[in-house]
Amino acid sequence: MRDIFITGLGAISAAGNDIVQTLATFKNGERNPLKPSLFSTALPYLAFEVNKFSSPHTDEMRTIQLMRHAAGEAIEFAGLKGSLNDFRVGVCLGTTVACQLNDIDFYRAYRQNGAVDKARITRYLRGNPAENLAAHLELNGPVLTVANACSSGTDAIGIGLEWLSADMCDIVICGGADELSHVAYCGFGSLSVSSNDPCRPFDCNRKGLNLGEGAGILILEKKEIAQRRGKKPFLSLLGYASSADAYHLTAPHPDGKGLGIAIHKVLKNCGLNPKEIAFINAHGTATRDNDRTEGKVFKEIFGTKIKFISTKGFTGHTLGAAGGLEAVFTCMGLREGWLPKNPGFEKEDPEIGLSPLAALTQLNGCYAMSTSLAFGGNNSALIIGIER
Amino acid sequence: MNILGTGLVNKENGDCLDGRAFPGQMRRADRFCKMAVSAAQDAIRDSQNKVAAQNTGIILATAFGPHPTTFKFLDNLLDYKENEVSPTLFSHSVHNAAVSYIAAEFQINGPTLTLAGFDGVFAEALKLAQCWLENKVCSYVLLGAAEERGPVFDKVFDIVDGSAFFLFSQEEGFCRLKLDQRQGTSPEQGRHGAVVAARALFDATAKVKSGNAAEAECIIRDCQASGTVIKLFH
Repeated sequence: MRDIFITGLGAISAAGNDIVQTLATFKNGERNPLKPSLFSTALPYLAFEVNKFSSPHTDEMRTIQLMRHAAGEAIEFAGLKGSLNDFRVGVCLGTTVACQLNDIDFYRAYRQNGAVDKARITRYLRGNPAENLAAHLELNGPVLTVANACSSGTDAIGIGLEWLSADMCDIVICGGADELSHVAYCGFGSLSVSSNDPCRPFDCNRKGLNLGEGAGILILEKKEIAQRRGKKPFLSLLGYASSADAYHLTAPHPDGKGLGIAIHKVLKNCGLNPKEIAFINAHGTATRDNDRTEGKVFKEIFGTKIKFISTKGFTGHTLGAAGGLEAVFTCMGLREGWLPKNPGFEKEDPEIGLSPLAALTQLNGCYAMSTSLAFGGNNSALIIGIER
Repeated sequence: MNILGTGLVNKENGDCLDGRAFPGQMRRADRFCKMAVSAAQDAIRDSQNKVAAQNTGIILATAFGPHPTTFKFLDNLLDYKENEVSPTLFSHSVHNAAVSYIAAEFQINGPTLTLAGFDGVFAEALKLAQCWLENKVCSYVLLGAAEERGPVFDKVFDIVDGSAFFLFSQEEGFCRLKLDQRQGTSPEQGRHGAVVAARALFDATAKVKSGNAAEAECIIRDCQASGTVIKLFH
């Protein structure tokens, strides 16, 4: 195990604009996916948008606005506001939408008159999340943006762990961010994996995913730095592992090969056995393939008693933000000692043969896992611990 | 870390994909993916096939990704109804499609990453590969860069088209690589994409590999607006 503390958390999603609001949503179990309001569409799929959000950074793309908001909360949580420049600070963030010029208005204008709107290009170049945050905060450590589709946020946190273990920096700001994009909304529709109804992760009658948006940010810190700053040992990032299915561009390996390898590896790296994992925050997109594969692997490795949830029932699938948000939610579960119910779940799927939490549940145990599966076949798992 | 194999495809001699054969599972792949798979394949062959399923990681660095495919998908959105767009174009518009094809083609089950950045992403990817090898995340890292030119971005960027890949390991290779930091010496490479830096490393490696030089050096930009000095030794 490695001595990497988690000293800051920040989250913004449809479940709440900060940690306090998110906890309240998790407690009352409410959710309200709607037809998108950020763009007009004739498609019927529901989505989870961030509500009542305004950012001072109006010249930045929405992904950056969300990321800066969550990063601000995490930095304040860690007590690092105004003092980041005293340390070697790296930034590693995941995204999918922000690394593409998915700008329909820009492209429509180009097709009409062949002209390229330089202001939109500048905004795109400023839209790389890690480079944007590092420049904004004038940080001096390594900087990387991970474009690993739906596991981007988890992989970004894993890279942060590697950087700290290799002494490449003292502190890492990591996680993921993505806005709800019209292009992705239509793209997921074309793949026939989106649902017209509120998503139902792991339910027998699940019909697909709802897209979402948001940002989830963690502050990772070397033990000696955290202790020097008077931070008590609390949450720790204990391990990360990742494995490719080497199978298909959009479908998971039917036996969950890559996910199984990633989970076994991270358990081994942490010196833990499956019974020591108190709960899993699953990827749980509510698509037929994802939930069947993930459930099958959980059953094989952890048995049928494992406690798990998918928080995508509260947030939708936030793509590059998902791993960041779900790592934050995993920390919150360990810290608060309870987990919300898995929204939308009513009936166990016999093909899966195990059920997520159907009610708010009190927790014991010191270790939890967060898993991510991605387009492209990458699978990643984190283990987070708490000192009790 | 050591270099065990290198591969480069670029447009210097006609289209870089001329004469290449691809497996059936790549029949829908776009040019960006095909370039990356070709360069990776050359690097693996050059190493005499030293890749090992779970013990190999893949990292691809890119600034602009498969943007011509993204714009083709936007053409779909502008020309057809929202429910008539192509799932194939959408799934290939994501940056990590190329790495997915590489993993599938060579049955690599290690960690796979696609890194996107305008500012020194290849240098940061090299540092991460070194980190993976030293932390024993894997025994081999297949690391490369890929960029594709297209009519929209040609109006504003000077992208260097192509792909270069390297197979790194702690095992003995034909070339040892050392990364150093040097302030204020880097050439401006950000707006040309990640292949510029990969090409510089490829050329330096070729000098040492051919025996024309016992050592070589190249400087590539990193995220701190300074230069990462790469020294290569026989």
